[in-house]
Amino acid sequence: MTDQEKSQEPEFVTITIDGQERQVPAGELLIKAAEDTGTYIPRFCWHPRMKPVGMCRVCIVEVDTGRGPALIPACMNPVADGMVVDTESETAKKAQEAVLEFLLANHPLDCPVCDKGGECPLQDQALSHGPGESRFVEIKRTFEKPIPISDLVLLDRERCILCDRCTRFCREISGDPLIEFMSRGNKTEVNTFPEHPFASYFSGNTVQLCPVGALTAKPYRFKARPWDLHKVESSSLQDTAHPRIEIHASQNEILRYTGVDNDATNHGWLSDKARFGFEYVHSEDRLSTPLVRRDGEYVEVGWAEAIDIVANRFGLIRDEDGGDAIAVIGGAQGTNEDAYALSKFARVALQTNNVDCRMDDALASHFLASTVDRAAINDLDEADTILVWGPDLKEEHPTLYLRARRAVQELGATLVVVHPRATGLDDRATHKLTYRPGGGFELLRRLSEGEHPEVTAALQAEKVVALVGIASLADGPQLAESVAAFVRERARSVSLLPLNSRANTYGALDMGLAPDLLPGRVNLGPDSCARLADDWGEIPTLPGKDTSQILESLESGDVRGLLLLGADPVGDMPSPSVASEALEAAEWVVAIDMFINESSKHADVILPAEGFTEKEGTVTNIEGRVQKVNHIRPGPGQSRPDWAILDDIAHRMESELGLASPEAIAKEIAKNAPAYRGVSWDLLEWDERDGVVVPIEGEPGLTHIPVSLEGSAAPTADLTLHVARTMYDDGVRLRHSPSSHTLAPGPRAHINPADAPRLGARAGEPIRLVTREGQGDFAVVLDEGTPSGVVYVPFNQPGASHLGTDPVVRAKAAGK
Amino acid sequence: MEMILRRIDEGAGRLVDLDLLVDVSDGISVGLQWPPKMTTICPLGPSAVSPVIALRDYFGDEVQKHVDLGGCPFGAAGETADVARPALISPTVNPPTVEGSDS
Repeated sequence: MTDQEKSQEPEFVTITIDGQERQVPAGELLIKAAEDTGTYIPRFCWHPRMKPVGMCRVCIVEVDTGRGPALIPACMNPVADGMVVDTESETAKKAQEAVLEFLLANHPLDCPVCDKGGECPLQDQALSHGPGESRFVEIKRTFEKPIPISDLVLLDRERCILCDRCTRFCREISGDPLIEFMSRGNKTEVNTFPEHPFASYFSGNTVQLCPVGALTAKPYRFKARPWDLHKVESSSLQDTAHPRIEIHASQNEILRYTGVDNDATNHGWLSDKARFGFEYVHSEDRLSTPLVRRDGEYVEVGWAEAIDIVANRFGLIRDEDGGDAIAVIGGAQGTNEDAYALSKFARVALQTNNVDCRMDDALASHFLASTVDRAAINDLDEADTILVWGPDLKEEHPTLYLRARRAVQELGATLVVVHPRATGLDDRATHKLTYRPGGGFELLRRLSEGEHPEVTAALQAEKVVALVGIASLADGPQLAESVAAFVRERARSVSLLPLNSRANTYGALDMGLAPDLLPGRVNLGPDSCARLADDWGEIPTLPGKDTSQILESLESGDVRGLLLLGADPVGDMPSPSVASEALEAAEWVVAIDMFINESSKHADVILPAEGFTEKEGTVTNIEGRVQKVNHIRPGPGQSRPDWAILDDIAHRMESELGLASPEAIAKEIAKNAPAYRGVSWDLLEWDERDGVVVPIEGEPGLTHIPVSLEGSAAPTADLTLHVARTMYDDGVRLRHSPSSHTLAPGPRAHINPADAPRLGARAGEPIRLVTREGQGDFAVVLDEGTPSGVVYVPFNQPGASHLGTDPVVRAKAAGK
Repeated sequence: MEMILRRIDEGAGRLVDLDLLVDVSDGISVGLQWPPKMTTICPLGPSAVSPVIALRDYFGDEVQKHVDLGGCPFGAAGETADVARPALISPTVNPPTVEGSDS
């Protein structure tokens, strides 16, 4: 054992709590040490993931200091060897009761109509540690109630017990301190700053943190009583880290998600998108019966008929032109089991390798699947230097954002951010480099030639974690690989996290939903196909087409049939016209989806699929962690899980997939996908562990491919276009979630105030942007965070035109 | 404490209120002794307590009279309050401070 490892071994000290001797880790807070060894000390302000503040005083216990007994707050004092603690002495109890009596002196007793009633720490602890009755007859303080402090959160200041949890969360964890204490004494209240709403991407966490009903969430308000809720644990697919959540439902209606504390991913926090973006599940627009297009209109048909139609047509195309004339797009939104079913269906039944789960966010499949030095999220905590060269984590990877912020702010890592404009982490960045969209390669070349030596020096630290992805649509996928290659070359020890934004892309790629991959991070080829022969039979061995090639071939007629599974290329591709023209031209399109979207409306047959919360399975997050998702309600109408639909279609095409249930598929995955060997559902029980990072045994999979540092030249235009995703956009799930959809910024063009006169732009007024691929009007936002010469347009906004990926843009007066 | 004192002064006091005041004070400075022990680290705590204890020890009868009579035995609140009227607390409403027993 090295010295370093020794120092990490926790030392234990002996303390006495209520007459019992206990061994507890040295330096731990008394309240935590007591709880871990079986004594619960009441608390309101203390939270294990935040710094102690000792605000509420209810955790007061009596400690023999050696100079006589003293009352101390257990949350502010670390244990010391020989400490003698009495949590239930008469003095301690009296103090605890006094605190609760004081809190209740002003807390309204509207528990019967309070959302928190039944799961309220104040209620519970008033019962367990309170005095039983109040001797105060004074009038309670009153405030106007409730006041909306953001679009999602309402504040009832009368109920507030001033524990500093919500305000601390915003200061310490999410980094947007938009709520704070105001006034003094009896009049103290939590509120927002004038003119600044609590517009935080993480505001929902304060609702969950609140130990009383002072903060309530609009989507859940007055909807249910906690004791009526049916609960199941799951992993959120609306965040790439797949944060652990609990789904709460009543009578098959999803009412809320809550974050579950865990060390592996989210520490219990959720972004508002992951927390509130569930309403689509109940949307009236959900598909509930199979639809077939007849004379231009969709007609409802039964499953048997729909399956027959689909199977016959795919069978016909396959028999006439071979599997190469059929293609499959999608599979990244569902479970690994569904992705595996799709992968098997395409290869076995359709006899094609034209399979892709990626859209515009196409980091190369081998880069995503084969990064052998892939970082775990927890590596951020150990890192000396964190490099983020990719999307704004706050917008696209909220859990990673919180974890990276913590690593820098609390654990002292050096942070290097490279992005075309301001990002959510800039306030904590040690070094920040900006570049013009499309000029990433030039910056990389300059870095390798020795410019910005402070950045290169930071990359030579002991432990480097590099998060690389596509910062701007103009950058393209090669840049991220080149950045990775550069960092690998320069850093002494580096682990990499390729950033891809779609829900379960990593799982889908691991299941082989790429033209050149097979399940389990295996390259497609004669050998690997032969290894699958037992279950898969004979399958094509040559790599197929990726999404953009499929779309081209649809237009040229080389590919005649297309299966879309939970995919919306028209909505998601940076150049939607290419996708919609391709789908228009396609001879035969089948969509398996929850909604009719911009792409599936071109389909000849639409089959209704079950969605999240309706099916069981596993998913794989950005670090390769496999976790369970669970079902809590049936899907609407006749909707069915993807795997069952695909199994039926294959059966009618006379090729058996042999898929029986998600769990049976999971067993087949463990058998056929080398990276998933040893992964079983039993292993994924939540009580035991937070999923497992694959591979848990055997080889790490593919090795990475060296990449050159050369790439496209920097654009020379006066004005360059930066298009990037935001947390809220016009994605199909958010579009059908009313409380979240309104938060999308809409068609906006951010420009630097210095550019405004030159472009003839005024804040709030529309400006027309013209690129090679499209044009549209956008409302001008004057924004210091966008460098001069750059115009930033959030991607895929409701009502916004798509501008494509080309960084050259011209600005004109609107409407011309 | 201020609200309770004000209530007694205005004639809505209860027999238990003096005990309540002392008990609340006990929560701030355990044992109500000088020097104070087992208090919060806040030096203002014992200072808030001392006038209440003085009230109990030296003006208990006056408090009792306030409660029994349902008002101030020394004249209506708001009257000239110089020395003639030893109100429990200052009749001024603002600023709300507890000034002790003999203001």
